[in-house]
Amino acid sequence: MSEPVVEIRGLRKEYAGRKGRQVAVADLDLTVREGEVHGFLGPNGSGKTTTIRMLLGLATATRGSMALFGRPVPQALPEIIGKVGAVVESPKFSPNFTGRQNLLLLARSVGVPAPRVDAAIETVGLAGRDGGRYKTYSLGMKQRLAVAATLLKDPRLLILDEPTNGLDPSGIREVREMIRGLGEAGVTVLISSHILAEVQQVCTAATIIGSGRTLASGTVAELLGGSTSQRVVVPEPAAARTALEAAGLRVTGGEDHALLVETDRPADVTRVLGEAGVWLSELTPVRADLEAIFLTLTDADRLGGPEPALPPTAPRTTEPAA
Amino acid sequence: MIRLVGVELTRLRWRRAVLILVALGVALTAVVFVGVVVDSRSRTIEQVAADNGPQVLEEVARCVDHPRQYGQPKDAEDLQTRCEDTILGYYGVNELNLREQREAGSGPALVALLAVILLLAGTTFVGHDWNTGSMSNQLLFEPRRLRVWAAKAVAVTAVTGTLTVLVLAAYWTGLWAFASARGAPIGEHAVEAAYKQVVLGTAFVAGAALLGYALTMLLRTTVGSLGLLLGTAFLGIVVVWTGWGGAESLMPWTNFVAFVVGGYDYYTSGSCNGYDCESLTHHIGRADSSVYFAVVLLVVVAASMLSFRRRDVP
Repeated sequence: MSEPVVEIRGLRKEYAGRKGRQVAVADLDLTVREGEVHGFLGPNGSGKTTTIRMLLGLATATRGSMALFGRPVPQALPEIIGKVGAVVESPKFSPNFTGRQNLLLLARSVGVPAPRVDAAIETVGLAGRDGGRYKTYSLGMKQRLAVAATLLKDPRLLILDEPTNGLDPSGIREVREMIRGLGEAGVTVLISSHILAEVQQVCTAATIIGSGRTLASGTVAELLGGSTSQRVVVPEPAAARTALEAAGLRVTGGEDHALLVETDRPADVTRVLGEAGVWLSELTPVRADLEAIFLTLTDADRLGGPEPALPPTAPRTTEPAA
Repeated sequence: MIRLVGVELTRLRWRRAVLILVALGVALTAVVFVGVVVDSRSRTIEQVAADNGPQVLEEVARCVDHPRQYGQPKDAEDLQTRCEDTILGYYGVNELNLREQREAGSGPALVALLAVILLLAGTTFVGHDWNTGSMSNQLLFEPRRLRVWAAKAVAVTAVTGTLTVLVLAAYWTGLWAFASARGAPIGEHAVEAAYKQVVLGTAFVAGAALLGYALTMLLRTTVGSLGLLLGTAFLGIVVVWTGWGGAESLMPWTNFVAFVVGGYDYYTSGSCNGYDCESLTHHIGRADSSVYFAVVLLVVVAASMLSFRRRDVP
C-alpha cells in the first residue's frame, strides 16, 4: 500500500460564538494515499472547507493531528508547501490586477520563474486573456486562474475545494480531464465536491463526512463494493420471492412484478428461479452509485437515525452521529 | 525575505489607490511650495496699495506719525521702511523666512499632510488584501506569517520613507534656493535645521504609514482602521474640551509639534487667589514625544503581529 500523503487523526475545530462554542469539525479522520484522486464529500456545513483550511495552515485546529507527506502540519508547512497546490473555496485574487500580474506575484514569492507562469496560463486555457483585469473575468475564468496558480509550484499534492463551481459543462469536463491527467501523472489529488457523479468519474478513493466527522472512507470500489443488485421481472413474484429467500438471498420490492435481489451474481438468480419453475421476463444488474451511498450516510447522520444499510464491503471508519 | 519584500514592493507599485495617494502627496507638496513662494514674493507698498486701496498708504502714514502704536521706536532712522514692512505684514506680505516656515509655517503642516496621506496608503495597501481575500492565497505560497507581515511592513515603510525624504528635501532645497535668490536673510544653521526636519519628518511619516498598515493588519479592514483613528481623534478633542490638565500632553497633535519642531509649550491654570490666577507652563520635549509615538507604534505593531500569527485567515 502506498504511503499516506495526507493523514488526519482526531481533528477538531471549535469556534467561540455568541451561542457558546460551536463545533465545525469533530474528531475527523482522513487518509489520502500517494497517487490517489481522493474525493472529500459531505453536505454543506459538514466541515470540508474548514478541514482543508486547517490542513493548509489558514485555520488552527482545536485538537488532533495532521500530516502532509509524513510531516506534521502546520509546523512543517514552510518546508512542504512547495509541493502543495490548493484552491480553497472561491478563487481569491486582486481584482484590479490582471490575471498574469496575480500569478506573477505568487510565482515570485516562491522563486518560480516567469516562463512557468506562461506555461500555467497556457495549460488552463487562459492564454490571450491573461492581460485582462481579474474583475472582468467570468467565474469560469477565475476558476481556471486559481487552478493555474496551483500549477505554478509543480505540486505533488493538489487540494481542490469545489473546483467546478460556476463552470459550464465544457469547463467541468476540462477540469475533470485535467484532474484525471494529473492523477495519471502521479499527482495526488484531494477534491471536495458536491457533484458526486463528477467525483465518481475521476476519484479512486473517497471519504464521506457529516457533521464534522468521518462517516465512511475507502476506495470508490470499496465504497460501492457489494452494492450490486439484480432487478428481476417475473410473472409470479410471490413464488419467485419464496424461492429466492429460501436460497438465502435478500429480496425487496415486489411491485409491477419486479423484485430487487441483493447479489452480484446474476447466475444465482436464474438458477434458483429456474429450479423453482419461475421463468424470468427481465434481469438487469443494478449498481449503486456514490450519490446513493452519500445520501444514505448523510441522511442517517443528519436525522440521527439508525445505522444505514451500507454495502457489506464498504468500510465505515466511525459510527454515524447518534 | 528579500524576495518577499521585492514581491510586496511590486504589489505596492501595481496598486492604483497607492499610486494615486503618492501622486496626491507630491502634488499637494508642490501646491504648498508654490503658495509659500508666491505669498513671500517681494512687493512694494505701492503695489499692495494698488491691489487693496488707499487705506494702505494712510496706514503707513499713521504708523510714521504714531510709531509706538505700531511697535516701532519713535526715533528710528529707517522709520518709513519699518512702517512699510509692518503694514505689508498686515496684508500677508512677508519675506521668506526659513526659520518661521520650519517652526510654525509650512514645514510641520507639510509633514502632517504627508503623514495623513501616506498613513492612508499603508492602510489601503493591505486593506485591499483582506477585502479581496487574497491574503489567504498569499499564505498558500508563503505560510510563514511573520515573514509575510514583516515583508509588507518593510515595503510600506521603505516606500513611504523614501518618498517623504525626497519630497521634503526637494521642498526645503527649493525654499532655500528662492530665499537665496531673493537675498532674504538666512539665519545661521537655518538650512541645517531644515534638513534635520526632513529627517524627523521622514521618520514620522514612515512611522505613520507603518501604524496604518499594522492597524489594518490587526483589524483586517481599512474602514475599521480609519474609524478607529478618527474615533481616537474625536475622543481626544472631547478630553481636551473637558479641561483635564494632562490632556494636552497626550494629544497626538501637541506631541507631533514637539517631535517635528523640537518642543511644545502649553499652559494650564494653577491655584487662584481671588482674581489672580497663576498660570503654569508645561513643556513637551522631543524626547517625550519620541517616547509617546514609539509606545503607540510598538503596542499596535506587537498586537498586529501577534494577531496575524495566531488568528484564522479567511
